[in-house]
Amino acid sequence: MSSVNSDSTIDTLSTVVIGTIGSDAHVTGQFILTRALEDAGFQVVRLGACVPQEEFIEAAIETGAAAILVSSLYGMAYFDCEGLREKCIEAGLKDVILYIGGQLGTNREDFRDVEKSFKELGFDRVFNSDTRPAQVIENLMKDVADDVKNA
Amino acid sequence: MEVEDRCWEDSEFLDAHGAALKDWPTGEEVDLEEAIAYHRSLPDHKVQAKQLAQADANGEIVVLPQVGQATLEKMLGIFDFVEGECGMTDCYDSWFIILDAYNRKKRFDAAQQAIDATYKTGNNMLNGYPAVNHGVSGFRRLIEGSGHSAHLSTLDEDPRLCGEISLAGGASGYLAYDLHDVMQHSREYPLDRRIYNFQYISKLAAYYTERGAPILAWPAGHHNGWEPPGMKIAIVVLQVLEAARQGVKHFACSYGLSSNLVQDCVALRVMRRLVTEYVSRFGYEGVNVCSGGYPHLGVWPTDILQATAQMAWEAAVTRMAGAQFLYLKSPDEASSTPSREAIGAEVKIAKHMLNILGDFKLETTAAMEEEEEMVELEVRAIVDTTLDFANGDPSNGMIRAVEHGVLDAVFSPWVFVKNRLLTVRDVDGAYRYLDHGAMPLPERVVNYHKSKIEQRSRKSGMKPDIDMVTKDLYSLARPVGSHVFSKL
Repeated sequence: MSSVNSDSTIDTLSTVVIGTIGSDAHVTGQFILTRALEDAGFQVVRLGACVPQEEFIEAAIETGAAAILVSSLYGMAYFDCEGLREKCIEAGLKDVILYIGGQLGTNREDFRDVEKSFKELGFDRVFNSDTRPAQVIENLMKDVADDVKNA
Repeated sequence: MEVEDRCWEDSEFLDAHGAALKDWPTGEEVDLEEAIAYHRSLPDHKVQAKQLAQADANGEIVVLPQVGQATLEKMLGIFDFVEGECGMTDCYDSWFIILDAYNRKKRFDAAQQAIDATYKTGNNMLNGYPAVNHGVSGFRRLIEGSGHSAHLSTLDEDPRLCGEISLAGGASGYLAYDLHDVMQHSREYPLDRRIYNFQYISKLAAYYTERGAPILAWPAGHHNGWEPPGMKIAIVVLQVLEAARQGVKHFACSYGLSSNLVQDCVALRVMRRLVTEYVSRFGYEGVNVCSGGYPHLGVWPTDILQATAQMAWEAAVTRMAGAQFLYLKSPDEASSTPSREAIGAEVKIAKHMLNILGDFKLETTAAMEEEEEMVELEVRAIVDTTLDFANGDPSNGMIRAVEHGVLDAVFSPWVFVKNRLLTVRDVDGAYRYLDHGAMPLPERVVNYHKSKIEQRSRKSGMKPDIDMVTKDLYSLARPVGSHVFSKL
């Protein structure tokens, strides 16, 4: 899947799957993040807009991805993501890293509440809409390295 | 792909009409003749085409807050609050009702679950109004529960059923999109089918209009938010020609504002002038064309005060450009579906700004003249090349133009578009092509864009590359004090 060298940075290509979930067609974030991730040495499988849960999982299995990065900007993410973690486990992706980022609620909630509700859905990290790519990459490198250590 | 470039016969429209209504049980509530009679009974201030014509004649601006929540009760609560306490009382005011994302993709079952969850939890669980689920009777409750007119965002891929329901329910406008819609909202919907759906809904609007119930078409040049005016306006021109072919007479052409005063004022003026010119060249008579602004489509500031400043600025630009309408967004834009307080705030902010400016219009400066010349050259090059692909037929020309990259986008979700365009802002914040792909731009226009980018590059010491593109995407969302283009 992925490997780390002695100082815990990625030295071979880790694959990540990225897409905008549900009925959402906002893709600018994934275009930017794809480029930043590629520059950082990741292999990125970009699935585009309106991606069903199953397609994320199939792509992750097919490519041996270390992480699934879900994007959502239209406020319906909670409905779209219910059951995703369970489906990953059923498909044998027990340890896959799950991130979500974007504009995740339809009400003006405190981001800490949003983060909590998505973590309860099984996401490892939750990002709001003004997150910069560098922050995602930094977290991802750490989480991938931890995963490999714990494997 | 090939579509037929002709005006539909009434009989063939009525045959297709029956089939389109079968997708969900509320389609049965549509009775065209009864609906036309209902429209004819509406007062002028609930008929958008009449409001806009009056606003144009009197130098006023139609103001359109956007609203969309899961239940009728929540919608009516917002109307009461904003119309009662936030100054939405003018005869030119109108509601833009946003369709929820599930209705947009015809997932009416999923929308129903979210409506049920909204009733159960008390929290709004949809990002728009599920117009198909609530049916014709629901839409009439909205029209009757408000003091204003309304139109529905009849998106995305197949707007036939939600368009039928909203018009039968008393909406007096519809979104006149095809290419714009798939480029902005679709993953892989075929353009020929989208053109067919657009012909259908335009014919529907013409059917009402010809029977004394004028329906206002709202074509858009918003694109994905990052394109300079030429591409946006070209797509508006082509969509207007397609709708006019079906007999549509009233157009409110909407332009996605870029937050650059010169470029936006010029674009709003050029759009109206060129749309009118092409309509007349095609021989469509009795057509009215207005133009107006649509808020920034890029990344919004999450800071409410910054977002508020953005909204106020957009109202000011629309007034200074001499445009006829303005869509509003709310200070909540970056973080949630707007609450009634946020919608009320946007109405107050826009109206106050419009009042401050009074009848003020920006006089044309030398910089505006140059920009105008370039935008006009760009629009003509794109539209004429597109029309030439199919002997003057805008629909088949559009299909070929997409295949050749003549019509293109920046970061579109639609898999059929080349997505070769890249843009950055110049020192003044105007959009310029870093890569214009296969667009047929005259050399002068290419050099103009290039020189503007070089000027920024010299000032900031930054290379114009993909990093600059990325920085600019976030530019207006950055914290105050950190988004001066000459330093980025």
